Amino acid sequence: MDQEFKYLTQIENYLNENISKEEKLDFEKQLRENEELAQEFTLYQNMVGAIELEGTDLMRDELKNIQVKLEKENYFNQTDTTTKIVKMENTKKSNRNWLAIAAGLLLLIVAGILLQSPNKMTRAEALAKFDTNQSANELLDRQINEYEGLGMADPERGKKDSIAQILNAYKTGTYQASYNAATEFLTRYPNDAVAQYYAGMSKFQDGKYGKAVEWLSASAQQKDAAFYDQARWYLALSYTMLATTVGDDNAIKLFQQIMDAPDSKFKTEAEWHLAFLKNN
Amino acid sequence: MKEETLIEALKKGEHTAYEYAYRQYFPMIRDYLTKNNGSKEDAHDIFQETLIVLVKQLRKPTFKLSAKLGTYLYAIARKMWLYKLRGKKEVDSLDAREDKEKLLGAVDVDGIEIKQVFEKKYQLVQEVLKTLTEECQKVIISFYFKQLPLKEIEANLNYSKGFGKLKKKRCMDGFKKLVLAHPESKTLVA
Repeated sequence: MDQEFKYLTQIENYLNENISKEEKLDFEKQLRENEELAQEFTLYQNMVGAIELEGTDLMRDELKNIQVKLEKENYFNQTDTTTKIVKMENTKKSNRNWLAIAAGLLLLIVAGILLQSPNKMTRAEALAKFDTNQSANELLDRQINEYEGLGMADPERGKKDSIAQILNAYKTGTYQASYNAATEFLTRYPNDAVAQYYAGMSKFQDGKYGKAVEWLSASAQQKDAAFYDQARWYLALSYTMLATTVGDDNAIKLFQQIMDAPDSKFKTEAEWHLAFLKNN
Repeated sequence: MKEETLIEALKKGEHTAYEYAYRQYFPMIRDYLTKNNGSKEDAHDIFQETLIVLVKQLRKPTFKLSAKLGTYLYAIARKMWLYKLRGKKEVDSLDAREDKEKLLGAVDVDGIEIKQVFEKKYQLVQEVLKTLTEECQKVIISFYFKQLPLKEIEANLNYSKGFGKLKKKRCMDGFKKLVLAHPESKTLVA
């Protein structure tokens, strides 16, 4: 079979019903008689099926991202309490005692939010429970200094500048730019662990947890790397956010490994997340 | 936002439309789920899957929305939750009774199941798709998944007029080449 599509237009016209009845019959005849066309047709359908799957995964990531954003805004708790306040306002006119009840209810809701236990939280809320960015940022600053350091005669200057570009984009929060720079860099240096790590971290920060898992899985194998502890931690969080059975299993294993590691900075957080996953 | 505007934006896969729908309709689904043995996390999961089903339905040329968007979303979410909660058989008999209310009849949850049967084969090709350049992935997803017209893709990606068609062909050729290079490619053409 040709490496390029030979019958793409015909296949798409047929599937989209953009052809006459005669042309349709002729295409179906060719499909039976021309093996090359038949193979390309089957391959095309598998490719479109895969596109559908990837598009759905991307949309799922995007919606998870919106969930995280709205939860950070406390939007859903506001909609909860707004309903209650509106109901109370309507009855206030007839009986002022309801005000006290409304205040009590509000207090209960606020207390409920403050005392929220791990097994009543959503995954997005659990994700926001600990701010571990500081530790990652300290590492980032050290790495930027290292790659931007003096040494104009360094034969690896160009390579280091490219990595510094990835890191600086990440630091300024332009994660898509950081990811683009990292993946471009990886076409030249496919096994570069730092670029793989920041490709994963950029996707994590953008809420694209499927992609984050892909990249961070490679980084979490680099036991001697400075980012090993972070890579394992963020990989575990990414698995958690996938909210799948396999993802949860992998996350549980990783959180357990982090808890058992003598020098991990994320022991307390891992313990909490482990309990969260086991309760959900 | 007017419902017609929202529907058009959802069809195009606009982020702002997804967020608007989330703000507007999630509380209703959450209230239903939490009153029916669901957790907040279940509510988010079901709402997200519901929105995905809705958007896919909206993109079907033959699909006509016969109810308000909120009613339709509620119907899909309810059906999905019942499937999850009780298993398919029980829900089918339940639906037969509830079809009288003409609430759930238009929701094709069976169709979703049929697609999952083929997912393994697609997953293999999906892995290949992910290795394409980010630009090609965007073009392909925009055209085949979001079903955006080439003119709109050209505008979104700052292409000159007519380049979208050429780029789409190049990306599909590159995609095909990579799929054929996959060790299991023989299973994908038979």
